[in-house]
Amino acid sequence: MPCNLAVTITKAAVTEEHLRKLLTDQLVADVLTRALQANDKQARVTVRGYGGVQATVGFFTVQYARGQINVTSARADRAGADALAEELRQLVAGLADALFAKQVEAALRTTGATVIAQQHMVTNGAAKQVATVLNFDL
Amino acid sequence: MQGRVFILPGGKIQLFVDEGTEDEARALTRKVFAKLRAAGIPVQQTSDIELHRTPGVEHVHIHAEHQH
Repeated sequence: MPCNLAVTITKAAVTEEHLRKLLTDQLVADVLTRALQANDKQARVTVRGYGGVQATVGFFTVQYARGQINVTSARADRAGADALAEELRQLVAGLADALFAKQVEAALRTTGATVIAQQHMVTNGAAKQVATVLNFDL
Repeated sequence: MQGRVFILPGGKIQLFVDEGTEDEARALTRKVFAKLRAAGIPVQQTSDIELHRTPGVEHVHIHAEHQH
């Protein structure tokens, strides 16, 4: 749909805390399992009884708690641990984004609106980003 | 009335209302945000309700289409 059809445009946001609350330990464990076992079938991911998620892959140990990812290496491979941590942070952030999009879509549907969800690559200032676009008729 | 909600990374939203008069579009915008808050989504406006034709209103543009 062309940009010039819009009558009004309004920006809004939720806090990082809200996004964090969408991330249950089990959902994080599931996405970590898929990602880690894709490269190493021996990777193990467990949800801790006292909260958080722990994973072992190779010589790395991954700890997730309350939105934070930390990776340590049994071989003092700081660079490798940092790279893995960054990869997993982006994965968890993507999970939060997807959960938020679903939450907004569900909320719109409760209004009785017809909602069609699509994924689009958008330009946002200088950045290209993947956005979930909810086309609604309310 | 038709509109689009762009959900961007990091919990950011851009709400486009594509039909109606300016007053109707503003009213729909407020209604959508009120509905989201009523559903437990603590969305906060980070801009005024801008008329699209207002110069300098920065917003997202679809770069390429990919449907699910």
